[in-house]
Amino acid sequence: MTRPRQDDSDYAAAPPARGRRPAGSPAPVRPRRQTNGFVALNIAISILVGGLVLFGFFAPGAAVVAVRLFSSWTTTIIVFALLLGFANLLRVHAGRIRTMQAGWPYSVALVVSALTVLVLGFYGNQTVGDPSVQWVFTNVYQPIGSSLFALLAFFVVSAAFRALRAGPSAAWVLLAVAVLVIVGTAPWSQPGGPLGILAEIKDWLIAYPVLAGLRGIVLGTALGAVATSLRVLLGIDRPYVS
Amino acid sequence: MLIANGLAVLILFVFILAILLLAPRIRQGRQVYFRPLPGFSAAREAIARAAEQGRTTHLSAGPGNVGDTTSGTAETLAGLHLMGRTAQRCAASGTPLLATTGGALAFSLAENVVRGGFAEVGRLSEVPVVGAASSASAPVTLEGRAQGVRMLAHRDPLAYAAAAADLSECEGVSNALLVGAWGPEYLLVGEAQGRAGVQVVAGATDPGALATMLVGADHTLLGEEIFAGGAYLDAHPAHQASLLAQDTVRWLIIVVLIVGVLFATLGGSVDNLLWGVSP
Repeated sequence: MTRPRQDDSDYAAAPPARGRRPAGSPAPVRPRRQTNGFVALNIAISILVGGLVLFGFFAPGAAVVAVRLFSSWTTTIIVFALLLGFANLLRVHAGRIRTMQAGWPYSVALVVSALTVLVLGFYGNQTVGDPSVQWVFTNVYQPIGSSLFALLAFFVVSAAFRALRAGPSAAWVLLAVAVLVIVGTAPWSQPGGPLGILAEIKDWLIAYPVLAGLRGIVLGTALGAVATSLRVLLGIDRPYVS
Repeated sequence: MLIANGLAVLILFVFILAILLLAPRIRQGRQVYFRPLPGFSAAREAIARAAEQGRTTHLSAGPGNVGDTTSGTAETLAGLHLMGRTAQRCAASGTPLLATTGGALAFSLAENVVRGGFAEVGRLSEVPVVGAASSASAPVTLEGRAQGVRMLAHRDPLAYAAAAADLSECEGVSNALLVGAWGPEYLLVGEAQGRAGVQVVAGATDPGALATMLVGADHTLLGEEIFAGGAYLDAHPAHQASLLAQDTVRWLIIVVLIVGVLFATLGGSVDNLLWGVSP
């Protein structure tokens, strides 16, 4: 039984019944994509290259030359794109500084940082493994990243508080299990301790329901990833052409 | 090892065969049923509401990139596909659009899918440009008006999340579709959007991200659901066939698991059978 659609997007809101459409009813008209020669060439190249690389996973000996060749081409193209991107970044932010646009001090910080790392790289071993460049990453970049990551603990509390205030939801289950696991991991909950039963409950939760759920998610995700990759390989999804 | 490789080839073969066999039948009018996913319906409604209000929709393909096995290529591709389909709706309804990515290759693909979405409704000349004047009431941010396609970071999820959070607190953003290779850093964006009252549909495959999304987002697409956007949002026959193929292979794997459990229960060694090693 077919159902009248409210608009072109209403496939999922109230799904139609499974099976063939009724006899006599016209087949839905679906727009077909127009494909010109350039797009067809792009698709053909992507199918060929993707197919060869995929084949290389199953027969490493036979396709190793092709896979290495495509990898080296990719690296070369990426290097030139990186140079272009870096030049463009400097151009855009230099323009902002010159015209004193809103937030121009941030642009100054960006340009100075970029040029500093570049000069350090050229001054030393001219590689990303140069000690001076590594010093910048270890003492400036990584601490900033770690600080930002540490903030997540406070964001978790804030998000949980907001979710709990909104009323009964999965957040309550999440909170209850989180509290149980935290308490069950504490020293007083170790086996033989006063609250040893909590450690056993925590271990059981992690070993059975959590692991089962995780495996379900991983299995579904893997199948979805295979389907998505195959759609790209077969030219059904074409994010590389517009 | 040979059996494991053979199984992988068999799964690929079943996938391709199912897609090639089912897609033409669906195209000819065979109807298929998929369970409703509230996240996709909510995304559609949010875009319609944003169009009425003249406010911006934020589309994110997540902090991942495309091209290697460690950066969440499949999730990013799924996010990019959703971005394209949603951009088409934004173009059709005149909703201002802000699309962000966390990788260089994902950025160029995002530009393509957004342009493709606008081209499908004959509005290629109206593709939003970063910093250009907007017809909507989107406010001016540090980077210009809150519209266009932007690469906020490259292979640095925290930096991407921090930048996306800053953009989300901009008053012009009213709803967001954040689907991709998110990790726990999602909280930075989710909390900022929660404070700004942005309606969020988020999706990821990472369990750490999913836990935070369940707490912070209005709707969450769990794991494999992010790969189903094509079948739900534009009901393309090949995408529907691909989703059916997923279900078919899932049942095959369930059968294999049950047989494996029975085999192991009866005393056989599954490790030895599959990998050629003794436990």
